[in-house]
This record gives sequence, structure tokens and C-alpha cells, in this order.
Amino acid sequence: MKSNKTLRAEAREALLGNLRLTVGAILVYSLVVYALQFLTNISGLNSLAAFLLIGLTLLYLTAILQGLLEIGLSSIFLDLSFGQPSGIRSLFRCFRENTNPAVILKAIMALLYVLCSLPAIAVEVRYFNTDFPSYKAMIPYYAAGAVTFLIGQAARILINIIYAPVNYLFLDFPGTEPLKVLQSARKLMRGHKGRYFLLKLSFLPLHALGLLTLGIANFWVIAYEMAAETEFYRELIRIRTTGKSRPGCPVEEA
Amino acid sequence: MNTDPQYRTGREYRQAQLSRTAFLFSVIALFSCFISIIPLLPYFAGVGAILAAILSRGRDRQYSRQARLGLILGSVAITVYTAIMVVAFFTFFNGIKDPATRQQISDILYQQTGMTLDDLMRYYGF
Repeated sequence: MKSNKTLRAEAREALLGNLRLTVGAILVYSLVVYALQFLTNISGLNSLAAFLLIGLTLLYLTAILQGLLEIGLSSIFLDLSFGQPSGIRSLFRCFRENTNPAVILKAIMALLYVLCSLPAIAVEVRYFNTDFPSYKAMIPYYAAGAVTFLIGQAARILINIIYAPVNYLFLDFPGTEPLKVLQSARKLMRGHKGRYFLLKLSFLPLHALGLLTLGIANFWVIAYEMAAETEFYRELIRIRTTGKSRPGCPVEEA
Repeated sequence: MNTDPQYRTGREYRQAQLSRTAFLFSVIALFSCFISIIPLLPYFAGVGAILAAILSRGRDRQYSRQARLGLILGSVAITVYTAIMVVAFFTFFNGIKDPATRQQISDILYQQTGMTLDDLMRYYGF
């Protein structure tokens, strides 16, 4: 398999001349997701039942919509990697074509993400509407919240690693059932999870630098990171199919 | 896009554009360390220079001359600005230990914000 250094080099090559499109797409994606999260903010709810019912439902629906946009974002990077033309419109391609399978796929992924959030939600339920007499009394709440948040994030990172190529597989094999896509993603990542994790870790210094710019430079870093993920997927498929430039065989044989 | 005869390919033109951007940002970052016009500008320009330099490399093993300069000067600008911020921070907190300096700062703050230095520090929990 190509080294992570080579994959990053291929990613930089794919981005040359395409930075405006990729960064623009990430910006639009971020704005839409931010707007969704803002509109579904339920911090004002006083009833626990409403908090759980409405809150969890909105969390789930937002995760599905976000997932659909992520497929669109992945399609832009996949097209650019193969030297094919692309545009910002591709960000919303799942809302125009292949919508049903995309929604089912992302509904399954969203369920996994919501399950990761359950520990943090349990802490919220435990301390719901509690009046804290002092800052000191809030320490157990913050401590529990921090621990459960970290556990949830760790689980989410693990899920993202295991199912890393799911968006690209869905785009490359459009007729495949969503469960089959998930299964194939797991098979494809077998033996490569560590390398993928190291590839993602290699972008941490750039993300840290991006913090100095209040997160603005992170749009470019995310474009670089996503291009590298796309090259990683291409390399996985190349290993599986040996030599074919664009996967032609169905995902069952991968 | 490739209108300049010195570039053999469009790819070279795009690389040159990014390298030039990296160098330009690094110069802006370095100057703004000492001529403070916009707060945090050295960080914005310095990080921009580093990113542009990295992305300009493409598949090549080496950075171009301008990209390398942009990378080095951008890193220097970030380091220098961080050092300036740290020194300013410690100078301020050491300065306010001196009663005369403390009173001067308090008077200026009161004129600008309506709060003395002690009021402000109490407000922020110091």
C-alpha cells in the first residue's frame, strides 16, 4: 500500500487549481449544518419528556441531513481525484438522485452516532432542571458531562474509522443496498484501520495551527484532509481490484 | 489559464500562484508583527503562508524557492508574534504590581469603559 506521505502528496496534487471549489463546498456545508443545529436547539425546553422526545428526534434528523451533505462533499473530492469536473451543486446530489438508499444508509449511521451520545444525554437527564446553589455544586455535573462526552467522542471516532469508505462506496456502487455498503466498508477497512488513524492524526498539527486563526484556516486543512481520505479510499480499492483505475466490479466482489 | 510563456503547463502556473501567495502572506505576517494594525493578523497571515506553501508542493518532493521562503518566514512571524504577546502579557501583569503604573492603567480604563482596573479584574474573577 502507498505510504501516508504519498497519499498526502496525491491529495495536494488533486487540490491544485481546485481549492476554491473544495473550500467553498466545505464552507457551504458548514453553514448549512450550523443553521440546522441552530434551528434545532432545544435548550429552552422545561419538560424532561419533551426534551427527550423532541431533542432525540431532532438530533437524529439533523444527523441524517448532515450525512446526506457529507456524501455530496465526498462526491466532489472523488470527482476531482479522478480529474473529472465538479461543482458546488454536487454537495446536494443526494437530494436529487439516489435519495432513498442514501437516507437509509445515513439513518443507520445516525443511529450509531445517537447511541454514542446516550451517555452524555443520560447526564443531561440526571441533572435536568437542577438548581445549583453554587459553582462548586456544579462540579459533579461538569465532570460527568466531560467524561461522558469524551467516551461518546471516542466511540464516534471508532465508528468513523471502521466505516470510513462508506460514502465513497455508496457513490461508486450506486445500485447496492445500504446494508451491503456498510458491510463492504467494514471488509475494505480490515487491516487498514491503524494506517487510516495515523493518516488522520498527521493532520492534527495543521488543525492546531488553524486554531490560531480562530478556525478560519481549518477550512483549507479540512479540504486537504478530505482529499487525502479520498486518495486512501482509491488506494484501498486499487489493492482490492489490482490495477483498475476506476472500480468496475460490483461491491460483492470487493 | 496558462497565458505566461514561462510556465510549461497549467499545473506549474497554479503552483507558482500558490507559492507567490505563500511568500506574500509571510511578508505581511512579518511586517504586521511590528506594525500592529489588525489584532492577530500575524497569525492569520502566517498560518496562511504555511498552508499555501504546503499545498503548492503538489506531488513534488521539494518546495519551490518562494514556497520555502513563505514557509520559513511565516513560521518566524508566528513565533515572533507569540513571543511579543507573551512579553506583553507578563509586562502588563508585572506592571500592575507597581502602584503608580496601576493607577495610570486604572484611570485610562475608567475613561474608556467606566470601570476601574480593580472592578474589571473582579468582574473577570481575578
